[in-house]
Amino acid sequence: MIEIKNISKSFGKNNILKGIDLSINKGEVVVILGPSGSGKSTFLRCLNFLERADAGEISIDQTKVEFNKAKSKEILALRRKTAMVFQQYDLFHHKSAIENIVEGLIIARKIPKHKAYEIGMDLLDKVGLKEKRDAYPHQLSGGQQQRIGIARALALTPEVILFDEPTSALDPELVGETLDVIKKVAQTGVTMIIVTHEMSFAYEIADRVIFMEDGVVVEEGTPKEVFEQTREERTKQFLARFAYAR
Amino acid sequence: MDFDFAFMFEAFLAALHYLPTTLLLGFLPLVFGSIIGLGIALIRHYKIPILSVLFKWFVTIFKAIPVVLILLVSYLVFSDSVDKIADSLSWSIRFSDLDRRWIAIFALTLYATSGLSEIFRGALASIPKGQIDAAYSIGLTNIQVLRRVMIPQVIPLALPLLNNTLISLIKASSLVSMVSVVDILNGALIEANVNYRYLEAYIAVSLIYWAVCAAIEAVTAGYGKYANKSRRRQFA
Repeated sequence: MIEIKNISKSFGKNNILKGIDLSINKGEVVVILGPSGSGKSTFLRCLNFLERADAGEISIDQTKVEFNKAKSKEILALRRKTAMVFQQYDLFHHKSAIENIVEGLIIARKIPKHKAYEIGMDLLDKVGLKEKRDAYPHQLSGGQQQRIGIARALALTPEVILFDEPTSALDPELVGETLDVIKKVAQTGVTMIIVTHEMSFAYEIADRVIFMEDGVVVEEGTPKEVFEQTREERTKQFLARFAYAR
Repeated sequence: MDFDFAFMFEAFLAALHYLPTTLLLGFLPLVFGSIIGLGIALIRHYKIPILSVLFKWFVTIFKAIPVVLILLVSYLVFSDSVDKIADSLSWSIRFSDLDRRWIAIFALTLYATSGLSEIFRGALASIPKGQIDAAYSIGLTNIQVLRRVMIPQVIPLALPLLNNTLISLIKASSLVSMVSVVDILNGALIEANVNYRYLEAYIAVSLIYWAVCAAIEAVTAGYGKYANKSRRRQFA
């Protein structure tokens, strides 16, 4: 169970997040929609302290951390309960696929090397890239890199995986394979928060959909409620642009 | 004007005798300067208060001072202060006993450090920010991010440029006769002082400088093959 309370963040005079609350059950898949600049990515990045929020708190598994007061030890502990998949994949360029996956296990989690590589190989298999074990990121397509990115996040068996527009940088042809992997992962009961613009994917995968704009949650509900029985005018406008996608 | 090839060969051998000194004056400042330069680059990269401003000025100032002046000022400072400091710490060392090569190495290190710190700073800045975020996101500490993600990518980027610095250092080391160090140039000139055949001596020394720099270039080219691979890795 993850509880996020009143998270706020400003960049200078720009108020990006205006006090957002969210609680997520174990195994739940939450999809966050919204126009660019609405604060979705900042929200995710605040959750694992890649940005430091100005106020609010998060508790994962009874460990409570206040955003503005957290010490580096608490931040590290929190980061070790979360994992992130990035828009630009952000694999380590000087490491091979398998090395990317096991890095966090060996260095952060201090798991013995052979054990880490076993876990790594399992995950490579899971994302369908077993034969790319020793390939470097520059030898992989965007879709393959992102699947390695997902495996890197999964390796840490985090309480929650944060997906920051995982398919936005991909060629349209490669989006499918990546989404398939995410769906497969979701079925295994991993808790996820996903920021995406893939509406049909959101509809299919989400347990709960959140529509955000200007740093506040505009509408929240099951995919059916948000997509088909939309209450808020602003959400309707936003979804109308994607009507063809459904 | 007749050119005395026999004497040129003599001067060549005399100069060759001091090749280790010249190499030392190239390599040691490169090593010391790289260590200090990487430190300065990191301090400036992380914008550590006070220190980063201090080193910014250090770099700006030393970039603009000719190496001759750094050598001469170092010599004066050393000659003035070594005995005093040794006295106050009751060490038995005297300035007159101090190997002048250390003064030259000190000065050349100062000369190289500012440039090297800029090389490392550029390399640090070229590591995509996202990779560093990713490293933090998998739970690495600051030191682990530095050691596991940043440094391994900075070194291959900086290495080709370090070769350039080494060549400049080897050439700059020809000035150390000003602080009475005998390097290959000075060694050949001592030989020429006997019969005033300076042209032969200069040409003999030029050949050695050329050979040394060509050897360094060859190493660079050999490294280039490897670097190209890892650079493709960097910017694929």
